[in-house]
Amino acid sequence: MPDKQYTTITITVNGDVFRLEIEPHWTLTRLIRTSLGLTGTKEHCDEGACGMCTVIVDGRPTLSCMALAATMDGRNVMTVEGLTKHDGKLHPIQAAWVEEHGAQCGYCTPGFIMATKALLDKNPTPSTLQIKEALGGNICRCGNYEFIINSVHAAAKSLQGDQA
Amino acid sequence: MTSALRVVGKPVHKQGDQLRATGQAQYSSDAHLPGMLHGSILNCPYPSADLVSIDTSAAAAVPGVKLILTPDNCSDVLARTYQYIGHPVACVVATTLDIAQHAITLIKVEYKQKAFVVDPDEAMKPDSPQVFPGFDNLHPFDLCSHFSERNEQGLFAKREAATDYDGFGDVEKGFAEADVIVEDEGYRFGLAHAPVPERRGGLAHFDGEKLTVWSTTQSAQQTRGYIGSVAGLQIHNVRVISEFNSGSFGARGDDTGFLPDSGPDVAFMGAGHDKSVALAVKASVMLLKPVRIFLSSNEENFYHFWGRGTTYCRVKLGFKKDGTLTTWDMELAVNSGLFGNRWTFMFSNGTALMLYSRNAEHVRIKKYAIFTNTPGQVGWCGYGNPEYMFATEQVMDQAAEILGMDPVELRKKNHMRPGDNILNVSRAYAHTGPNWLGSGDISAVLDLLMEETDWKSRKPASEKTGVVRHGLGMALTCQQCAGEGVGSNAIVKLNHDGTAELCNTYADTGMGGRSACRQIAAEELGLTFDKVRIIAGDTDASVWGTSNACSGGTMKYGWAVALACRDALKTLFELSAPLLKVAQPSELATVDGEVFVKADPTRRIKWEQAFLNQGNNDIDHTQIVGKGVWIMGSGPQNTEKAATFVSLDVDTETGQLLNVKIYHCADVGRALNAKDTKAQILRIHHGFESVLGATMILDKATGRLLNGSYIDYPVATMWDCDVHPYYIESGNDPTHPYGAVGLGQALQNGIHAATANAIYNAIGVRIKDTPMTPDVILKALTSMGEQAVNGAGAATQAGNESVPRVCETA
Repeated sequence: MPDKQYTTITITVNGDVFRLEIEPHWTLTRLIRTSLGLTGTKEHCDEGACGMCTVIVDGRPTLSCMALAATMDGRNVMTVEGLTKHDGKLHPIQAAWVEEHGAQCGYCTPGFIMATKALLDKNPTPSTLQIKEALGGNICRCGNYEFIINSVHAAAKSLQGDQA
Repeated sequence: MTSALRVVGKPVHKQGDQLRATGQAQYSSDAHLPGMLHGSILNCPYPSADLVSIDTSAAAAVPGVKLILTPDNCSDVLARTYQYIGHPVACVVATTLDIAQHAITLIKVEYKQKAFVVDPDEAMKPDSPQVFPGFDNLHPFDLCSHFSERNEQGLFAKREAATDYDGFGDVEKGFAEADVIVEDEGYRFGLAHAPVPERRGGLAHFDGEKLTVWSTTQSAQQTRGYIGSVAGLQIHNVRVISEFNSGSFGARGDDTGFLPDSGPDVAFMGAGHDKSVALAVKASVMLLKPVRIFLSSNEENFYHFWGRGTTYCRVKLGFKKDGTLTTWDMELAVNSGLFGNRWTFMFSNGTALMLYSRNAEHVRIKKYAIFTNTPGQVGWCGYGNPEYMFATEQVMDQAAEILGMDPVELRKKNHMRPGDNILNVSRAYAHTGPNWLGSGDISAVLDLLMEETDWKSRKPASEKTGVVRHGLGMALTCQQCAGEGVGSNAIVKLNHDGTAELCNTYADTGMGGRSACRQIAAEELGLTFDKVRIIAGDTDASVWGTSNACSGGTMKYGWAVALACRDALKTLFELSAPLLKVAQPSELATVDGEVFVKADPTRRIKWEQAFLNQGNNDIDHTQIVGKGVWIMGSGPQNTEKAATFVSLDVDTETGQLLNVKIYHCADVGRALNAKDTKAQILRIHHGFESVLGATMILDKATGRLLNGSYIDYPVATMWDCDVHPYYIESGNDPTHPYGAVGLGQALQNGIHAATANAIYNAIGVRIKDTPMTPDVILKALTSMGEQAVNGAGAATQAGNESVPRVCETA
């Protein structure tokens, strides 16, 4: 086994600051799932092609399997666990997913929800075409796409209502 | 019972969806334990090889390596002969995954490479290397079934084992008596990868007494037996936890992970050649530590999760002049990889035995396995049926044209009705007496989709011009959702506060079946949905049930749930009767946690009072327990039936399919939950994936998979097509406690033929290969131009020619 080379980074995840010792080859997915134990973020393809590991880094949807943890020093990361408010209620996007049956097996759901969060933060009232453009890289192997699009529309409507 | 349902059929949230949406859902691959060790598997790099020697000394010297499993110390799991690339050779268990993966690279293996074949076309040639020495690669399937002893209703009472074909009657006689014979061949369904996201694997922890395994499985109860056999433990000391699963899609049957590696006549149900769970179990038993082994890349997923095998099909049908389908003759050859895969063949049962059983008098279905140096091919939703229905529902389309009938009218003439034969050929099911269709109205399904797609304005291809041409096609589909002998147990616990807990083993792969069980329990107990919890993901807390497969879940589990609830209520009413001063418990009913007198609902008590009546003190309430046991028998059979219509445009210059819309309608008997029902239908997206371009490509020279990634294997996205889901509820199916029939298993059976029929309707070209990529469509168009034929099967008028002409098409 080659000698390990550790790097220390400071990263904010879901509002909490962590100082972590990592190895250079670790991905952000590995940091989130293994170092922090946040298993809501899923790993599937490990090649940037399925979107199931999507998290938000400094406001941008990011494939955490394609991001090296070593590049995350000083960055602000939000995972699906960070969406839930501390009032015992679901985030409106999560509530929309439950209401509209946006999940089947649910393995892709955290990635879709985080991609949706990033979309709605920038475009609160997306058209179906804009949803497809933003979420088209996320794959649902159950094929639940029509209900996922319904969920995004419902979430947008709900968030608009919150602001009214 | 069903006139005033409070919970069943209502739009409840799907069980577990809140946890899925918050990331709290615990899939087996999310499980971690303190002190857990990690395993990594060394896979054979050659498609056919023998082990000459293995040297693990360098790997064993790596600090942190705790155990190395090889054929020398783990011969019941690891083989010395390897028959596909990816075949497990050894396994390193270490303190970290990094160490295990590094140590794997230090194992020195000497292989003796052998001749191999991965291409099914090559495998069928006489000079091909034999995958199993002494056996032709084209291997007849010999676990066949002959049906006989028709009763007055035309139902077959007897099923006998045979070695030659599945069926009944005399097809030669049938063709001699037919007015029109339609035959076609050359259909080739391409190898398709099962759409399973969660990687296979398991976390095993043997503490010296009990073995606990977090496993990706849809068969937790059956898997216990397999795990126990590997671990040397009896079932009572094996606990399997599988709370959340990603979609199973043929990859969660698990048995192959524990069965002997190869043989020309092995029966297995699901993928699992990676042996990850078996190796984790072995290591944990030897080390007395938790050991986690999951596949570490998507490429490994591809190598081990082989889906639908390449399938060749020839079909010959005999009709009366009026379109009555009397005779069905069919041959299938399926690339089964390194297994004879008897199991999949048992379900490739031929629509003649169900969908078109109404008029069929003579049926012969001959099946062959094609052995190749690839993992065993399994199949998923449809389980062997999409592969050949790609051919049969196209030949039905050709027959309609030859008979001068509308394709929908030909189906209406011949499709099954309630009371018609449902003939399963599978040894997985018994056949102790006549089996028939419980309910269904396929004509109503067809009428709905004709209306939605404006079918009546459909024009033939000959009337279409221009570069982009519109097409509309359809196909029928069906599948038996469970057969004789499957079943489950259930336990329900009534609590004094008016709540209930339900225990069964319903693997949750996202289809909403656990919700359906909760709904059934709530309905039976007079409770609301939120007052019932289901405990189903832990064999320590649940009870036996057949593998959750074949879309039969809400029936086989639902019955046991309903019976358990009725058993519990019997006790509740017996305890309540003296308190409510009635002579018979049958005079009582319950709603919302209260028991009341039916004749005078003002006389009522809370459940709590009844629980205290068990002679207990007034602090420690007891609990009422009910049990349900249910096994499917002969008689009406729970059968999915549906139609798929496809609307598309074909660009005749590029060969591309544009504006694809899929309309699928199922007769569900009763929808237990409207949104879950429609969500199930959306799964047809991944059927369209193998229409559009997804097939696994192997290099004949090296045996390697060339597109084992999502960069190269085009999975279905939200851009590829629009799905329009519909269902009808034609009536209470007698096989289900609330009249539902399964949904999902037959979803993919018709989509490939419906798309090909739509392409034919657009451009007059018959597509006989999947995937229907632009090059396939352009090639077919070019062929049409050169040969001036339309590719349709030939027909003969028996009265006009003395001998029916056998059609040979390109």
